[in-house]
Amino acid sequence: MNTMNNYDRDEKEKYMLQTESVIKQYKQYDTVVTAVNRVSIKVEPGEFVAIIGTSGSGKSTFLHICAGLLRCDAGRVMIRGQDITKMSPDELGRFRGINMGFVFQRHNLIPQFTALENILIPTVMCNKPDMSYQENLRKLVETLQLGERLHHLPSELSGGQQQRVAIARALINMPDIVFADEPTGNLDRANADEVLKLLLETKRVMGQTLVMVTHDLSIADHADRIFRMDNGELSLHRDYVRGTKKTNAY
Amino acid sequence: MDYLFENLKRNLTIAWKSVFFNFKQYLCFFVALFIIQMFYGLMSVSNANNNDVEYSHVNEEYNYHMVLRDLNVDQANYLFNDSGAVFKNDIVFDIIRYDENLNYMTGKTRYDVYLFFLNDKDVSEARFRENYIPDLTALGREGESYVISTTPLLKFEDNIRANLVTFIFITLILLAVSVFLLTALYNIRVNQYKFTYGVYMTFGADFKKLFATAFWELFVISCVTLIPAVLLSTLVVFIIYIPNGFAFHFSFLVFLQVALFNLAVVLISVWMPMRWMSTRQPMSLIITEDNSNLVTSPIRSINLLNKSFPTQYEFYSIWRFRKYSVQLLTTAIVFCALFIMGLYLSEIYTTDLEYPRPQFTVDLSATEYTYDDIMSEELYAFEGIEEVRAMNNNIEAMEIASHMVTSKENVLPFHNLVVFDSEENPMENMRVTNELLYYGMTEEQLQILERYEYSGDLNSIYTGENMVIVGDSISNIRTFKFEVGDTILVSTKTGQIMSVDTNLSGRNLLKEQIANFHYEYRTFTVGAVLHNIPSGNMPIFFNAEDYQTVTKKSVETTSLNIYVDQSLTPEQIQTLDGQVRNWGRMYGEVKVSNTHRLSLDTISADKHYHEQLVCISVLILFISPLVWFFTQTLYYFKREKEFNILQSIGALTKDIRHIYIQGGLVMAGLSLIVAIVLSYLGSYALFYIYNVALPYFSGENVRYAFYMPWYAILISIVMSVGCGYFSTYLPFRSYIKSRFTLENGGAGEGEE
Repeated sequence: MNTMNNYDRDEKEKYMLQTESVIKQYKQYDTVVTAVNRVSIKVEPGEFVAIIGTSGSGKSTFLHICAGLLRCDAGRVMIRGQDITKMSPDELGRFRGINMGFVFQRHNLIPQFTALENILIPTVMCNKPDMSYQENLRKLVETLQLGERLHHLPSELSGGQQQRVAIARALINMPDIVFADEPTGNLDRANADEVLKLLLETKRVMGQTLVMVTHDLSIADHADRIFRMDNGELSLHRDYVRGTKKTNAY
Repeated sequence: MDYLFENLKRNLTIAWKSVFFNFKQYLCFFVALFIIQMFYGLMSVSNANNNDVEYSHVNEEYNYHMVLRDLNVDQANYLFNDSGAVFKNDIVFDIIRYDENLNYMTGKTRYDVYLFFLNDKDVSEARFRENYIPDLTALGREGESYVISTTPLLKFEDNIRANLVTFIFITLILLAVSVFLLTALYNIRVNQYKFTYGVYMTFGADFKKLFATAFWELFVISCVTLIPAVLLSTLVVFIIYIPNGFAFHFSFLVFLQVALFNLAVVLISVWMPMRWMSTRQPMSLIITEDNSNLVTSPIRSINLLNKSFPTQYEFYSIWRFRKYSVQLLTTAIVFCALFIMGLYLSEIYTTDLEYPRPQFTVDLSATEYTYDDIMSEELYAFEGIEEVRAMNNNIEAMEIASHMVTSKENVLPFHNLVVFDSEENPMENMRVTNELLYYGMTEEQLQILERYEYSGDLNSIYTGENMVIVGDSISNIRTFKFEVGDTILVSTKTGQIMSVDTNLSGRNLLKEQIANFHYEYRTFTVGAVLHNIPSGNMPIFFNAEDYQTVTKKSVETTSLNIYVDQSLTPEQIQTLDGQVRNWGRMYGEVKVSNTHRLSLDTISADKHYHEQLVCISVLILFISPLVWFFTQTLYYFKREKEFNILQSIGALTKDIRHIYIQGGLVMAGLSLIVAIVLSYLGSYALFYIYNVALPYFSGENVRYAFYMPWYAILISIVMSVGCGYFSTYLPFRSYIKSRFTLENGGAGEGEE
């Protein structure tokens, strides 16, 4: 029995992200819309997974559930083997601060804070002592080329610069996994490519797992695996590492 | 330890930056915390001075702790020789003075001895009672008794303790008001800044962190406002207390007191909103920002730029934000209602202070006399006596299972009296009550009733037959609309079919009594109606003969309350005290007690609770515009995006102005209604508590008038309507300004 438990545990911890039959429904007036329908996925440490799909297919909702920003109605979400659906709001908040980073499509910077203050929000929320993030901050500022703009307010930055600040904010605590919700959706081609390049560069330097939602196939093509979300259901679209195959659990 | 300091430093730095870099956003918290600190500063400084007032007054008026009255010569000698003391250490008192009095009835000399306790007066008093009183009692003779009474000088510490209890009680009330204010403001803030908190939570904030963020912000603000608030409140108290003529007392401990109070308010106030926030899903908070530019109601689709725009559009918007509007209206206007309630409380305090209470009580029961016209003449002859009221000339109707029957037309609406419908007397149109107090009045006592508002002839109960004087209220609430000439039936129990359940009370008891008892009913005509007489049970005044017929008891007064002119000086009271006691000695063993009423009233007046309540009420009134402007500014600031979008798709500036003004006028109109309703409800709640609930517990019936003064209502209405309008107009000006900047190539819009 113990052997089985240990096996189960090892199996779970083998994956950075693992979801099991996740369901999320919304009630709109009298009808119930299933935004995420029994979605299961397994993502290994260091992997880059992209989820593509049309608007309203449920990909952002699924990403939010994976990051614990939304609660699912059924199913389990495990990050490094820990079931976040069973955590209390406070436990989940702390867990998210330490283990996860999130990049929003609209970057969601706090307007009254400067770029540097926005970047440091996660360190404040997680009570990180100064020493622990100084080196990482230096690296991020250098990689993301933010040195000149650190003391500017978000309203004084371009869209691309704002998104770079948002990326730095997601990475400052050196999380194990980064979720990015259409990080290039609001940017022009040149800026989108730049942001993607920076994301991949920081991923390479810091070794995080990256789960990205996008509707841009050229961006998704950089991922190890691409999934397609259609009417709340997830299917494997392409696997660059293991070759394309379609199964129910990934 | 280093980590702790680093953490503290960092929290304070962030809070400091948040607050001072966004000073406008936090301005209302500066004002709110300033007001809260002033509330408590006022109370703290006053409390310290109240103790001094208490001490100065009793020291001025009394130089003895205890007086023993009507001692015989042996007892007096026992004290003069201090026979209870064996050793020097045993001496517990000094005799300040003694009076030698001749009792004209018994012919014996009696002594009043005034004692001042030495050293620790409480210990000395206890030792005196333990060692001396048994001996003094043993020295008494048959048929004699002596009276021990203490002065406020002995009970000073008790009064200080009472002051402390009052202070704690007021602290709790202020805590509740302050927490309500700050929670309301913080709720508004977290509602408007959900997005920011959503971002914090996305990046690891739990309840503890959210709470700490909010707490440190308010802590920083509190530190800034503390000193000015305490200094200003000290100045206000100083101005209020100057007329007392006593040295003003100020202790630096007040700063600590106010700081601790402030800390408690801040801790409690941010707990609830942050607890609520921490349970929300971060995305649901962040998404509010993404949806803030919703132009139309998600429920109703309207033709934006057709004739329905902008009037109908804005009505839909008001409906769309109805929860917000209701919350704003009630929160802002509750403070106007609290202002009126505070003024009412100050009126209640003044009424209570001015309510006549006896200075002396006289007990004739140990003599062979009852109070009569001759005694009355003698007592009224003393200068300063305003009223001598007979005390044991009444009985509750319930005690003798009696009740009154009157026509349904005489009962005011909404008073659910029992329908009189016994088998013996089926009368569906009659109503019955036993909440009655029967008085037997002598002609001399009738003049006391003249102090109340009345209609009819008070002497009618002696000039006419079967006449009564009635009150028109039960529990100080007007219940009947009697007019002179109306008739009532008053019952006297003559027998019973069976006993009624002793566990019954109120209406059920009355119904059972009517069903099972035999009654004889007498018809009385109302000769006069008293309109504002304090009444738990409704009073019915009979002449002595009718009183005896109805109650089977005669009017024999052996207990008196003596009321004096409230402007008498302590010396005049002292003289009057001697005169009344001397008068008593003419009738034998008359016991006269001085209640020290005037002194206690003077002390109460010098504590200036009335003025303090007025100050606090005015401060509370200032909170209302704070809530209005804070909320509306944030609300319209949020809607600026919506207006920009509207303008970009064709709306004119005059349309936007229309939207602002319409919103402001609707809020002003609604606030007019809500202000009147809430003020009325608040005042009525106090009226009910003080007139009905408190007398039930205290046993003392002071009748407080219903208070809705026109000037307070006017202030409240002007404040609400003015704030409703201007809190919209100012954001409109700000919008026009930013629009002008935008159109002329100024800085781009920010996120919030």
